[in-house]
Amino acid sequence: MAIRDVTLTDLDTLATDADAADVAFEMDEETFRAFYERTARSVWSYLARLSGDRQAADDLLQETYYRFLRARVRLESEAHRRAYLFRIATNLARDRHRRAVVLPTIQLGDRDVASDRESATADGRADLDRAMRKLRPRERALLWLAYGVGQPHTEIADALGVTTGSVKPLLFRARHKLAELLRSGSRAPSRGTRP
Amino acid sequence: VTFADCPRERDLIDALTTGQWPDRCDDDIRAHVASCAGCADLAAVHASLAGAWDGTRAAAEVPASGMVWWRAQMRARREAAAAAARPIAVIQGVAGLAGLALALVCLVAVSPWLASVLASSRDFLALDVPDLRTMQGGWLLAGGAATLLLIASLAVYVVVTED
Repeated sequence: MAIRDVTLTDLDTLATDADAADVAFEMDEETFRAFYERTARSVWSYLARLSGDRQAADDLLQETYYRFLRARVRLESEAHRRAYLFRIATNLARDRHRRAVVLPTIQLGDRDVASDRESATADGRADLDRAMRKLRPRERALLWLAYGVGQPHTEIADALGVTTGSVKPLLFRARHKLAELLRSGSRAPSRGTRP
Repeated sequence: VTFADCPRERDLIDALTTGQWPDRCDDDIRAHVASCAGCADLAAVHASLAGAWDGTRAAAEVPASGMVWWRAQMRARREAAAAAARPIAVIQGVAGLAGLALALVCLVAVSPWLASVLASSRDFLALDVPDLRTMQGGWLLAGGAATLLLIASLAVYVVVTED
């Protein structure tokens, strides 16, 4: 049936059918659930670290997987799927960062601080959070992907939309900038840190 | 800072990720880190980032996969239903406007009171609008306008459904 032959009744039926039937995604439910189990905690942690906000990470997680499911692209391997997923997550976190200029100072993963040792750890993480906030969003994403998620350079390149060859120098500079900030108690580094 | 690709970086990353750094790794790696600025940066940031990451990951509370799938399905259905209903809403709007215009034309044609009101408005506004009832072929013109409205609404329907 040509599209011009569709009647108003047909359109009504289509709307009803869309309400009742399963919507076709590129990935079936079983495959998705297995993929989600393998990746969700890393994606959430990545989003929480980039946004600095648990609630935002929850919302962005759902949005990330929804966009991943709706994407009309064929992703051949697990590595491609993962890189694509983190690309979506990076873009969503970046868009959120553009809308909300000031990042909240929520301590992630330090809920049950009890002993002195744990307090020292919490202090160290507070220093890290302060230093990370002075980095550019792309630098933060780069560092978390490399040393948090543990992605290889090819996947980092896919996730950030840069060439694989540029990952190493970008990472080198971001690392240096962060190390300087940590050493100097979050004072701004003095020279040559702009990628 | 100038980028320098250090050949020992891989060894250091291995030592860091396996937990051998700094106490249980080879002395030559420690000596190298003491003399290489890039590797010193790596050693400094890796422990902080890895520790913070492990804490965040341990505290992560993600929804069940079935819940995420179900929400995605619901949202996709809503969006599909809204997309399917969009042409209907447009057509209903066009049909409503066409019907209103037709009703107005008919009212003007049959109601002497409305015709006089319009005539006085026309005088008030100093407009030179022709009276269709007194014009030669005026009814033909009114019918033509009505037909044009119907064709226009049909044309909109065809364009919208093709989109």
